[in-house]
Amino acid sequence: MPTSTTSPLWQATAQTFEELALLFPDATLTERQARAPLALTAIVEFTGPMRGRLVLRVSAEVLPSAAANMLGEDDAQHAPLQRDAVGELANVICGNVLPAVAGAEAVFLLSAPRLETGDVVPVREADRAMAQHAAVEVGVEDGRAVVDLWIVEGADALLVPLAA
Amino acid sequence: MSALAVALDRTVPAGRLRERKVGVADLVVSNDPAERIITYALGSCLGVTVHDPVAGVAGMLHLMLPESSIDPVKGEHQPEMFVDTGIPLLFKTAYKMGAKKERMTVKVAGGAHAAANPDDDRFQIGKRNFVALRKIFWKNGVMIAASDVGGAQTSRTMWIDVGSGVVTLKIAGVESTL
Amino acid sequence: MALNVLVVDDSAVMRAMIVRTLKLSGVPLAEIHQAGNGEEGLRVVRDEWVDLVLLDVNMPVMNGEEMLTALRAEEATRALPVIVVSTESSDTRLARLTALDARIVHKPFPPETLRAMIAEVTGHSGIGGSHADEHDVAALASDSADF
Ligand SMILES: [Mg+2]
Repeated sequence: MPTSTTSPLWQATAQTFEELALLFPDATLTERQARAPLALTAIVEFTGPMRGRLVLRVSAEVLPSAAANMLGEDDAQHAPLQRDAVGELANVICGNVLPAVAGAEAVFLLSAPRLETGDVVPVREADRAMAQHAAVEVGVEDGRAVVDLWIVEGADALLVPLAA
Repeated sequence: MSALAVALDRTVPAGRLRERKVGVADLVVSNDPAERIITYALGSCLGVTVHDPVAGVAGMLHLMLPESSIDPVKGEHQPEMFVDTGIPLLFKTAYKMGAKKERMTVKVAGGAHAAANPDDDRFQIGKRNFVALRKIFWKNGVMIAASDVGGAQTSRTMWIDVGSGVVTLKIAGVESTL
Repeated sequence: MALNVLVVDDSAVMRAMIVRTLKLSGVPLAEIHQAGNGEEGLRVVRDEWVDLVLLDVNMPVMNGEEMLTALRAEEATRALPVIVVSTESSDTRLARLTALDARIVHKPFPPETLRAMIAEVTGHSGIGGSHADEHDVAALASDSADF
């Protein structure tokens, strides 16, 4: 993957986790973090000079602390709030990485984040070959977060929508 | 009506100030307007000052690490070392001298990278400290009035004059008001 | 005079963060209304007195730029103060929003940045302490407070 995309994706991911979720993302994962299953997937589709999607997957360990930190609470076990929090993290990462990849002039339309329980495969096999891809994985609390960015150049090119 | 209306100017001329030194993992709170609370060589550590102009109380904490959970025994015996134990102690000590949270001004300095290039700073203690500080402040409804945080291998000396509440930083020999 | 504020964002967690910052900002507050998209936001503006709008851009149904355009097209809301709080980073779009007389706070934001913008736009500086007033702080602290 080109570092020109990976580096901005890393930057946007780290900054969003630090400043929005008040969680420090580790670049090097512990064994425990690396093993943590991904429990929730947030998908943001974007259109503009390029099309694509940003997919954020987090493990269960991340959910309560991310939501609680954002809300300024000790704990947040309420599942809808946890999903909302992860959706907003995906939206903010996506909004911050796109200008770094496409240039400050490019205007994108971002979809509302779609949340799927579990570890949803972020792109179809058929799209893999034609799309540019960057991925970042960080250790967060006792779990991890994985961010995938899929880009198809040109406004007409379209990733196949993921099955709902 | 405003709380600030009853704040007294307790400024003491710099020449007559007595220095009280804050060590590493240490805390000083004072209501003596003739004192200057000072800490030296903040690197990845954070210096946190509080000041209540009405009570005439000022304090400073020099903390080292984000979470006491990495060493609970130390957390108990030396709470000043960690964000999650030192910050509550700083505020509570100031409350005992009459300070009130809603009147307190909070300033922060330090949290530098340990390497010349931030990417070479493997443990990122400075950044971790500041993220942990933001978390505990947000949870407790505390806003930072001014901060000077980060930088590559920046060494900061920080002091607060108890009488005036003015916070000063000295970096590479140059003084500035925070 | 206490302000009536409308917070428009499709994320409930983000709305809660903005409301919390408002309460900590030192600005005297009356009602705080919330809406999950631009269309709901316009309905609130039509039905209620609103002094300040905090507005997201990326939202379903009607986005923030569309809502802002609709506000500026109406005589009654042409001058309504609007702070766009969004992840939007495109210079082109930020220029369009600024041309519609909105101020911008970029997500992710430290609460101090949003507070400073609220103070600037409303003319109330929340200076002095960390907070607005004792009552709000006590209410915020609830049972999760450490100090
Ligand atoms: Mg949104």
